[in-house]
Amino acid sequence: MTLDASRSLHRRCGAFTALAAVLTVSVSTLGLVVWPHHVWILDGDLAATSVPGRAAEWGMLIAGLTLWLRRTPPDGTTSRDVFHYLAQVMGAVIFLIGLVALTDPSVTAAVGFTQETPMGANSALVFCLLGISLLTLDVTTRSGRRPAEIGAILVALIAMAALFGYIYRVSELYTVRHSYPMVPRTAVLSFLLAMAVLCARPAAGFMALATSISFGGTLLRRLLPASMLMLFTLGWLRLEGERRGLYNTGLGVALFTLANIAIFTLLVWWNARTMQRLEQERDASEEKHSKAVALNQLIMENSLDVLSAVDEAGRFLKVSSAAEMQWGYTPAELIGRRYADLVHPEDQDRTAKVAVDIMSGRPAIGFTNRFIRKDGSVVPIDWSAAWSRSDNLMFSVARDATERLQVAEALRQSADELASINRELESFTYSVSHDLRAPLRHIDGYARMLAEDGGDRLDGELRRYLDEIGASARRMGRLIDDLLAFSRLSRQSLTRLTVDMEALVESALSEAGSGKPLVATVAVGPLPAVQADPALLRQVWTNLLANAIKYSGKRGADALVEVTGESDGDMARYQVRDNGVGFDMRYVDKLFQVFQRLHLQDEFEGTGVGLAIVQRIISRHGGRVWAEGELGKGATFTFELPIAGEQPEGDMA
Amino acid sequence: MNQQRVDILLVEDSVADAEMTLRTLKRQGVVNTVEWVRDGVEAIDYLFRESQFAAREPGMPKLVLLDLKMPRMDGLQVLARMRGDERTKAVPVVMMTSSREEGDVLASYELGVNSYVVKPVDFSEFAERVVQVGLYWMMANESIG
Repeated sequence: MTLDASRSLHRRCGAFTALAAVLTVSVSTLGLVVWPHHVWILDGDLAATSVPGRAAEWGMLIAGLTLWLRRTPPDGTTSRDVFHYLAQVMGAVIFLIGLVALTDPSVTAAVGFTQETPMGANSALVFCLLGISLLTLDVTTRSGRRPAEIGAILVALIAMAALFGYIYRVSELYTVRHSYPMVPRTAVLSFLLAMAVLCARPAAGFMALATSISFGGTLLRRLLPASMLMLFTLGWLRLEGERRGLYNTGLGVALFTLANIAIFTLLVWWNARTMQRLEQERDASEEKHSKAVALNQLIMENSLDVLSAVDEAGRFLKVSSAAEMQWGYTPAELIGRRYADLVHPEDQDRTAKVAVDIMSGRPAIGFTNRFIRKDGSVVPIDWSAAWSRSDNLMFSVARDATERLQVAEALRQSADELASINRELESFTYSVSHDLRAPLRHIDGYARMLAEDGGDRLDGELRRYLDEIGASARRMGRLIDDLLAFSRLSRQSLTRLTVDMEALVESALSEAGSGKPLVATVAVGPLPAVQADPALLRQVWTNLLANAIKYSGKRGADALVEVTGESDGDMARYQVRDNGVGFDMRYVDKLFQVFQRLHLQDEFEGTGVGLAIVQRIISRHGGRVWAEGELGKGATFTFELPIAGEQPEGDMA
Repeated sequence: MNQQRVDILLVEDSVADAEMTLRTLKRQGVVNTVEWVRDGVEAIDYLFRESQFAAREPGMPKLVLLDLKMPRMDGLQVLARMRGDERTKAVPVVMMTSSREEGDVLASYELGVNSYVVKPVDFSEFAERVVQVGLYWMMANESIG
């Protein structure tokens, strides 16, 4: 912002210089063409004495051209071209014109300018000074003085004096004693050229201050022209008033001083107010800036991650304090070092590749490599880094990954352990299924063989014992089968398909009722379809329907099982209601636990696994199941399933 | 042991299972001769007439009833050896086991088992299956032979 403001002033100075050069060249060319007549437009009624001489017209023309050629500051190598030398020669010519006119005004006539208006001493001096100024446009002495500037200011003063002379009608100001006058046109053009010389190098010397946006520059730009104009006007008014006899000298001086004080006061007050406003604005922006700096500092000092800025060559420019804790180096030790020097040798190539990616605009997030700490130990680091094109820097955040990797490793280990435990469990269930069933088969087999071969030696009671042995063995076989099925459920993966629940219930019903005479009346209502594992859901229906049929069996022909279903938002709800023996709601919690039964084995056969299987299947589908019942009146089992089937799987235990 | 070809080779490490199987096969009159060996190694020796069976009459049984889990050499290994040898390649093998584990079923079928029977706990069911298997393969053999 600051630079931009200054730059725009510089641009305006450049434009002014160019305009002044063009104006000078045009006016003097026109003057030469119509010479020696008056050009009313150029000389106006102020042209009291005469038009400029030819030497002066030529001098102005050359000065204008020189200024045009040298109006822009040289930028390195391109400055020393033909035009540069041409401009230098022309500068020298201007100086010589002035010098010759100064030493002997009549020489101009000798070189062919007949009917010449001789050049006044002040005009001659102006040309000398202009020549020097144009020659030394880019010269600055060791003590910081600029000859061009001094020359231009002197020219401006001389020209201004002449102009004042014309306006105030004081001939001494434009005619140096025993010499010829400086004509008004020459005075105006000289002043213009003096200003243009100053503006040609706006970034140097006096002009640097005049074009700066500092308080000083602002003050200079405002006060200088304003006070010059004011003093000039007041002086003229005072003189004219006195000349016309409006007031005498005493009153004139008093009025002049009074007006001076009043206007100066106004001027200073106006400027002071502006300065104050500017200062306030600057303070506000400085406060904002310092707050941002403080926040930045706070972050850099307190971040647990290492924040850093790295330049194009991979060198640290800024590193936050956490570096000392994480890498063992203080920020001061790191600044200027290449980060690659810290990277573990095995990670160098990988890191360099990622850095190329980052610099081409793809930020890295979660890139992990290793650094060598100051003490030689290795630290794993998680990086997130991005390239800032405007700053040409890579900003990055580095986090010590030691803990994360330890946790990941621990997780991996426990996952491995779990997997191996699972394998053990699997082989355990395998041997259970194989080795526990064999003796049961033998018990049942030998009991049966004994019953067959015992013949007459066994009375009825002994036969019943043998039957009981066989029945117990077979029941235990079923128990093992159910238990295995139950444990397999948690390992089996779900295959989700669209399940036609009504067809599934029909099929499950035929299995649930198989082997036993179906006495109950089963009423199946319309059932919504869901996304679920058909084989597992079939198991659910089989178990629930078998239970309903079993527990309502004692009612004989009155036994009634109702199956209903409905959709409720994302969930589908199904109910199996029977009018059987029911259960005591006090024990409802035990219903879905493995091996928990609410009835005696004599009353109703069963292993106590069926409802546990139902609950596990439903929960793995992301649904839930519950039961309501009353002793002697029946039971209702309700389960809900997500229709879309997208709920996460339930327990994996 | 008579001149006739042995009907069934029963490979079974469990004495009880073997006794129940032999009794069922004989009482139901399915077969006349059943040879019983105790594990996979003996089964291989018998089939290829090696060591203790070097002197047996030549000829292959009409059916091998093979238990899956056995000491020394299990049923799957015996099956693999049989299917890898020209002499025993075509002999029908029925795998009999207590296990319902899927892996075993698949492994057996991949090795070219002819049938796979899970031994139920219930003796009457067990007997029924043994008889069915025996009858089926005896008849199948006769129709081939």
